[in-house]
Amino acid sequence: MSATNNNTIHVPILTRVEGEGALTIRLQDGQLQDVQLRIYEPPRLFEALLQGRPLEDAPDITARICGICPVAYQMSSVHALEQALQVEITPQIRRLRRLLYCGEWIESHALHVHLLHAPDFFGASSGIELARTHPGELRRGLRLKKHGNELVAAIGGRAIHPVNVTVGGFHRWPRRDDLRRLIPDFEWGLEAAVEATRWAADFPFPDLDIDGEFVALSHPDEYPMNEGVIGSSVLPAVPVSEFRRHFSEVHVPHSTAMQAVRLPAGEPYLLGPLSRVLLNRDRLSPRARALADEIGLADSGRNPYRALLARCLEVVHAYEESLDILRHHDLSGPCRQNYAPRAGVGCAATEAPRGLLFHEYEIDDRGRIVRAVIVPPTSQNQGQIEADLRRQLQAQLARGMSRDELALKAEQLVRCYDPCISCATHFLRVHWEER
Amino acid sequence: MTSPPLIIGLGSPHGDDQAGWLVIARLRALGLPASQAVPARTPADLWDWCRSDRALTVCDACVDVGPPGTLKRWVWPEHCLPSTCGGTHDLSLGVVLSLGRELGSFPANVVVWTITGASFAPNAAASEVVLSACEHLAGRLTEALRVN
Repeated sequence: MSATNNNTIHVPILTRVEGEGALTIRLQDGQLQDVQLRIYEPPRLFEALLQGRPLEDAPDITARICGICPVAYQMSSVHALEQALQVEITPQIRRLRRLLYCGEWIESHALHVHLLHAPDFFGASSGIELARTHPGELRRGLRLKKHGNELVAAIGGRAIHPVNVTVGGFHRWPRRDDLRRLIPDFEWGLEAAVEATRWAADFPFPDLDIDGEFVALSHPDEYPMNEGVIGSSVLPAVPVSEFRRHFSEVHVPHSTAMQAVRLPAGEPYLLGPLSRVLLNRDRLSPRARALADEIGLADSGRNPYRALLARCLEVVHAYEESLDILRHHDLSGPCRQNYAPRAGVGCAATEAPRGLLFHEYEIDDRGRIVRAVIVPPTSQNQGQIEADLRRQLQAQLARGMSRDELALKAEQLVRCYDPCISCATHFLRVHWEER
Repeated sequence: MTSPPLIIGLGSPHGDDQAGWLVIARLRALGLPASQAVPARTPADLWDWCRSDRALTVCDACVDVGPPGTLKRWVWPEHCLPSTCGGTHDLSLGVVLSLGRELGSFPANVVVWTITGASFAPNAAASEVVLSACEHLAGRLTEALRVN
């Protein structure tokens, strides 16, 4: 629902996104003056909350930033802390972490594709309304989401906010039977994910090309999840350790979340599945890669509406990779690498469902956190979302679209990026004065 | 409705959020078979158990519906469920029930009992007042099943 007058279009609450945000569009003499994606959830202070705590607390505390992507927070935090501690994990731990991440991608993407985004292409106001006309597709989406939750639960101990991840590895290996039991469902899920992609490929996607930079992790041997360099569609790749030299967070008055810009130009950039597929298409699993060719995503990979297709391809990829690991899992060796506390600084970036999630920690010689920096993907995407809104609105205004329709289309565009607003509201810096 | 009624208790191990599980444990202790009294973690778990031809009762902890230990009966969709009922990090109970109805998977009406909690601290025991309320609710549900 939107409130409009001659000069301002106000969408007071964005629906079917994670968290709470709003949109303000200002017009002057019928021309677009300004667009503001306003995130008004209160700041959450996680970085300050971590100061002085044992480093072992970081994975479980940062996981609480998000109920949709807790694995991403756990992964970025453990990799960053392991770098600070100079801990090398075993191939078995690394592989199980990828499997855990696959579970999160499946549950998050399946939810967004079927319940949050698909209704826009059928004129439905919600997933519940879409269920009346497309019950089979909605049932499929719910089942895919459940598979993702079950995989996270099997490895992480529970589906939401898993508790088995720790610095150096896992508290315990998952039970072999719990992993094997998932295989038949995942075999069904792979085929269902392929069907879902073909279904989505026929959606009437509006025309809009992102005129900007696509950024995602890139790894020479695998589709990026837990490691790689920071790849770009425009500039040379940079190591994750240089993230803060090339990307910077900036305050904007209309949002409690910081926005991020690419340095030195100060331009926005796009993270997420579309960027990942664009930069890593040849490292998708075989079925996902063939499907990308079939649906022609390579030819239309700059359209933010088609991020839905990239999400579908990543679900296919995640099922295929999961099956490979589930069928050939190797839980030999220690489930956790030991370490001794030491002072140091470490950083890591991993690929949350919504894009690159950067963590940096400084720890002291007692293993306490001195400083934490967390840069979530939705914070980073805000500038690009506003830039794309401006371009869409200018074109729609030129076509004489009504204010209400403009507001609806703008809200639909915001949903394309699957923003997780709760993740983004972390910005406030606490200044302590002690006498 | 041809199948025996189903009671599902939603919960987690955290303080009074165990309320749904406590009701189920008590129901089983009172003789209700496990196939009729089921503990679950999230509203989405209802998909595994519910059918349109089986009467469904859901028990869940909530906050801000009276003082701790308050029992309240809601009939969905006649009553709007309290927004605090169900998790904040997954599909809410209301969304799951609405979707289930549209997909023909759930009965047209669902009874939801809420038990108002006081503390939801990680891995803490449930409070005495909630324990007592859960015991009372299990007794009422058992009696209702016996009468019907």
